[in-house]
Amino acid sequence: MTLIVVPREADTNQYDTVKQIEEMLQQICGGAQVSRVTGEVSLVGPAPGDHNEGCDCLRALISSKHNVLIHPLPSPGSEIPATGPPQKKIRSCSGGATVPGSLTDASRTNGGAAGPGTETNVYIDMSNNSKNGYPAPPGTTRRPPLWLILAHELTSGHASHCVAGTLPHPTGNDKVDEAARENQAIESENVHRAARKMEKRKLVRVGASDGG
Amino acid sequence: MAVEVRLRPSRRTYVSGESVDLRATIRNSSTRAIHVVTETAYIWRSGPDRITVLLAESPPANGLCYYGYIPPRTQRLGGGRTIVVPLPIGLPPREGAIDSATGYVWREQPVSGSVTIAVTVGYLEKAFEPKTTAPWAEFVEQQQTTQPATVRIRVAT
Repeated sequence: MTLIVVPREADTNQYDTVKQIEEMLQQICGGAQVSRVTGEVSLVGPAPGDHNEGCDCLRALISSKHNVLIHPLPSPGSEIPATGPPQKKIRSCSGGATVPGSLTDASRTNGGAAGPGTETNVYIDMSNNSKNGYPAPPGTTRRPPLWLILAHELTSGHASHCVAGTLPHPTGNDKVDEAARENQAIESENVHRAARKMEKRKLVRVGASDGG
Repeated sequence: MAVEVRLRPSRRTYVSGESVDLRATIRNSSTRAIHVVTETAYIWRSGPDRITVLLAESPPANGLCYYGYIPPRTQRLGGGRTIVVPLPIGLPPREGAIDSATGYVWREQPVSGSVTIAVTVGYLEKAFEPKTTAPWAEFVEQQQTTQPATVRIRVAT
């Protein structure tokens, strides 16, 4: 199984779309390459001086027993499949979203052991909010580059936990579950931010009183 | 908190491929100001002769992970005040889907005959300010919604 970029059939410029995703992946790990034929991601290197914070994570995704599919979406109004009804829009997600095939398989068991993992779909708004960019997350002052949004979804962020079965065990409380998943990915994103001397995102835990 | 919604399409009969130019008149019949959702409209076919519109936020999808939450834009509406929100609805409604052969696609959801459009509006008592890394669920927690207002149109195929 592997990490695959799946451009839309209706995309008249698939080559450029795949190239853009490749450039984003190279910010995560300098040696990332995307096949223009199959969309499969592979790693060569990275060369000295390349970004390498996400190389181990990309390698783990590529060698996972579950596929991770990256779907480039055309606009902020694009809907995210399997999130409804009503289906959520990528704009509400600040341009990046991850949907596990099975939440149960993607999550740790009640006892804390890793689940079996699951195939995972990752969505990214290639228009970057119609070229306006997405708002700076809490604790930061600059709009996030698109590659960082993709990194948040992929490397040690959401998708890597989905395929490894290590998302936090769901409690059934939307607020607690949402915060637990997001904090997991924000911690990973902050590794990339630290490597580039960018401001770190804030982690704000949901209090025990919200535990339901 | 009493919020009333009335719907008015510019005409009653449409053909598939046209857009229903629906307008929602929202009245705050209480004496206190509220913040009405005026931007995010989820529109989907909820039956062969029914379209549901949510001018409101819906709960986060089970298992959905995201980069950051952008809440829908809201507008302050004083007590006794009214606003009109345009709600254009393309016919037929479409949904984003994954096709195993072609990847991400927009899939049409045909409706025909006498079609009911039901609109629910969300509002908050205070302007939204997230306090945790679970802002989506926070927004939904603070949001109240109206009863669905309905209007019937005819869609010819």
